[in-house]
Amino acid sequence: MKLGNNINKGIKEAFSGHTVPLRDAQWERIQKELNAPSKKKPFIFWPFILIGVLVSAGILIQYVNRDAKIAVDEQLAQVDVSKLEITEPQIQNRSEEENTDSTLKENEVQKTESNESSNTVANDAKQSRSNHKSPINKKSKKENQIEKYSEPHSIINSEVIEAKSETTLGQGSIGIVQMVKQEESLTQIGPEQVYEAANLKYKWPLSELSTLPLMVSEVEKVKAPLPIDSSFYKVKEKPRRKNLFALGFATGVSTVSTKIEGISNEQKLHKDTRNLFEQSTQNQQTQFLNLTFDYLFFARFGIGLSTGLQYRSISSAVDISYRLNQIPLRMPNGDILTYYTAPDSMSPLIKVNNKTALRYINIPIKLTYTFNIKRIHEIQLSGGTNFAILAGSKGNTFSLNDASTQPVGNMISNLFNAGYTGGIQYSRPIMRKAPLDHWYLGCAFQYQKNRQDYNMDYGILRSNVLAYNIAFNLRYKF
Amino acid sequence: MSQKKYKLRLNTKTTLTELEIIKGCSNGDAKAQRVLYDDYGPVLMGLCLRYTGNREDAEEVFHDAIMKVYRNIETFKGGSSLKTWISRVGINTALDFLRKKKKALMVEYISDSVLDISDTDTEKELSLEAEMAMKLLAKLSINQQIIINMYVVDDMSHREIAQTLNISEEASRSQYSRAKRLLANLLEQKGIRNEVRE
Repeated sequence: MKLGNNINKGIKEAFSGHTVPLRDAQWERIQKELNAPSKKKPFIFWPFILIGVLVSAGILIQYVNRDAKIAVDEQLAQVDVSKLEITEPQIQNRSEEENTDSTLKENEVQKTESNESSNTVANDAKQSRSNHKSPINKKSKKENQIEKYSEPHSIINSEVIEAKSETTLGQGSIGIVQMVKQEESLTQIGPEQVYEAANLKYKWPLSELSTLPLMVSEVEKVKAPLPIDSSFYKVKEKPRRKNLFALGFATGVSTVSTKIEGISNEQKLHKDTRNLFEQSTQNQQTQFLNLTFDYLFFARFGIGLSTGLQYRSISSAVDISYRLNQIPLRMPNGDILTYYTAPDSMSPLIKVNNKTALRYINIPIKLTYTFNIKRIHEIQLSGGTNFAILAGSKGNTFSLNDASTQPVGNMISNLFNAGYTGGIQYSRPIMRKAPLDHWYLGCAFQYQKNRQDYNMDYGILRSNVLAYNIAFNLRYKF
Repeated sequence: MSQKKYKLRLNTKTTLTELEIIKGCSNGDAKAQRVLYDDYGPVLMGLCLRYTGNREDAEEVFHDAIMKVYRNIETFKGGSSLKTWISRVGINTALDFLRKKKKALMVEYISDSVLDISDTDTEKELSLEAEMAMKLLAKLSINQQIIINMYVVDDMSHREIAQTLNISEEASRSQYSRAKRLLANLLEQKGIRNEVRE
């Protein structure tokens, strides 16, 4: 037999049926872990709520906008068009594009319909097209002549510039009448304005406007009346103030709770550590004060950034009287092997009766989505990171593992931590007119979660500080 | 599922079959959990000690392994005996532990050709105690210890080892040969192999 095989055989035999006795402490540890509630991660529901809110808001906005559009359409449908065309002071400019497009179309019509007309007509149509493409300063002599004696006219006054029938298109041509074009001011009529609809309405029924006999201007234009749903008739909106920035102040009521997330080196910590910690963090109270700064960097989509400063104070009434009569027996590596029960006279009494307070400065950095309902109701959804800095502490708490009391601030092992925050905010302007239209009042619901680690000598007790705030805010937008 | 009945006698006089243990542990029955711990625990602990080489690490691995056994026992399909399944859980847990401890565990190393140990001393047999064998294995590199443990003690083929460690079969054989050669040298030097039968 070769040595190689002998080695194999020797090793195999050496380990055949090889067992190592187990220690009782190991079973206790296993049993404890088996009996502990499962550490499944809690279902995080708030992203789903956020998505739900966003979707609902989107649907709501869609609905509100649709209703508004229908209302405007109905209103327009009920208006006496002839009156609207002439007397409504809100009549707006027809856009240059519409003007040019319709003119080009008309010229095409003219070209088609006056195929049999003289070359002069054709040339004139070409000239007409070229005139429309050219800017206003390229006016014909005739236009300039008109301009000379044409004072600014008011549509309301219904002054009429007499149309001359010196058309080169010839009689009998079917043309389309152009509505009044107005440059900037309602009271000004530019040189391109040839006919006033006011004049026409007494001569032809509105329904026949599109088939009026050709009446050609001094210049050249033959244009169509605008359809009733044209933007021509729409009421001009006031230019929207940008309001990209907002400074705010908020405070309100809040509930806070501290939950243990986990314990590192649990086998080294006294078995009552968890219970006593939970007792010491019951009945917590909190106050907060927020200074906020919002910036809409994608104003068109309502997306922005929100940051600021938050001062938060969390206080707890600690009233613990604990006799440490379960004395741990430790292994050299610090693991607790077992406990022996000491008589009360021999065991120390840990007594803490005071109020602890932890003060934090929080810096939230959140992404925001802002939208308006009926222009004045502003809803803002936000979510992001919350950086917390422990700024101060007060009071004492227990330290079971070295059987003493300690200032609570000394036990915090992470003076700086990052958590997350999110919420929904509603606000509206205090007044819709100056000077208070920049000031917004509202309320908000916010959720904050930050981690807080306590150093328990032999191990770290990891906890989460959860806060739910209802805040009332005052914001100034600029 | 294997219907072999392992009658287990405990201090508490509880006797359970393998099937009852599996069912009991799946349902979180404390009694079944204890029976499994008492019956298979020492063997599992021995395995953990073989792989890790020291008691402290072995206890850590043992704890993780037995918790995996308790939590996943319902996935045991009965393709092998429960003992084999638990051993495999133990091996995998130990390998995970060693990987974490030694970041580059089982880097493929196949520069040596496969060697056969030639020996003329064919008449003599080797006898080792577990403790002595542990000391011997401790002289090898961690990779070689693992290969010897898997191939020699746990009866895994080179193919299985290669799959488990994500190396080639050739690398597994190479490591094994080098380990055997080293062990032979050690035995020669210390004269241990002369604990022989006359």
